[in-house]
Amino acid sequence: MADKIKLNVELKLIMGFLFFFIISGMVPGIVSVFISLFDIDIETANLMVLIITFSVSVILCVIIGLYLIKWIAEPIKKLITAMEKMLEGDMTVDPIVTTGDEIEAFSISLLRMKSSLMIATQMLGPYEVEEQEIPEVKGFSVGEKMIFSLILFLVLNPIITIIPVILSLDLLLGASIASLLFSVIMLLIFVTYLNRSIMEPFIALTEAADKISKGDFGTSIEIKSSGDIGRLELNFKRISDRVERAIKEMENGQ
Amino acid sequence: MVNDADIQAMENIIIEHAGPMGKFVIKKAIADIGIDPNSYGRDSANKLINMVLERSIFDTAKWDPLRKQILSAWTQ
Repeated sequence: MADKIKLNVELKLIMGFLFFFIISGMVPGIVSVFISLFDIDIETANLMVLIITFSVSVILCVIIGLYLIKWIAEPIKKLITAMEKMLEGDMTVDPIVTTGDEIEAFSISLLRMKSSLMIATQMLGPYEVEEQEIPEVKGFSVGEKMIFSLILFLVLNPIITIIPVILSLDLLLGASIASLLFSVIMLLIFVTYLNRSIMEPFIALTEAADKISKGDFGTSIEIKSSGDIGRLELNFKRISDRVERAIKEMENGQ
Repeated sequence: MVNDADIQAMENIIIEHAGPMGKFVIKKAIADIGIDPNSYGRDSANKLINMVLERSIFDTAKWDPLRKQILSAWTQ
């Protein structure tokens, strides 16, 4: 599995946020240098730094948000839809995503399970649709979590330019130091949050899915996440339960 | 002649692509051919591989590379 991963999801998240933080963190410094070339009073200069920083951050937020959604959230959504269709008996669905990361590794496990479901249908006939109530998994989707994080940063970003004023620091030096500190702290907070809420459960699920899809049913999947990852856990568990039942039926029939 | 190690090698390759139900496809194909794999000639061995691929690998583009992979595992 690992040799197929070109760029893991965690690295993509860090890259996206790092790019966002570095660029938006550099903006106040660059703007301050530019403004210091002109004879503008400090209050107007601070206001200009604030407005320009905020505008650049909005543009960056949209661009990075769209890239992160395309890289991470959309493939996960595609997998959830594919799994739901498979559970409804629609085997025409293509569960493969080509992201070159853990999401692709998970989709390969899912393809194995789809093949096994198709074989089970061939050998045992169509399976009965489950009548039991399916627990609902609530919570924010991966895309929503990423957008919230970016928007939170966007809202907090103007603090960069207020700090030098509050501390009565020199505009250029203050803006640069505040930008750097703020970017590092926010980067650590957001990446840790997204890593814990998205990546850790997803990697655990991908490893379990790989083992189960190769026949190791001693590995169990616990539904302990919310949102999209919780839906992936629940749907994969339902698919693996169905394949396991088919295997028991085959073994009992022999 | 196809021995137990060959069947196991084929099972590993098929499970890698078709998941855990792959092993039952092999057992069923052997039962359908009706001859002990230890007594297979070249035709029966090819028939087994083709039958297993047709029943377990739904992407026909994978048949040729997998056939080569299985035959390569058998010659080792």
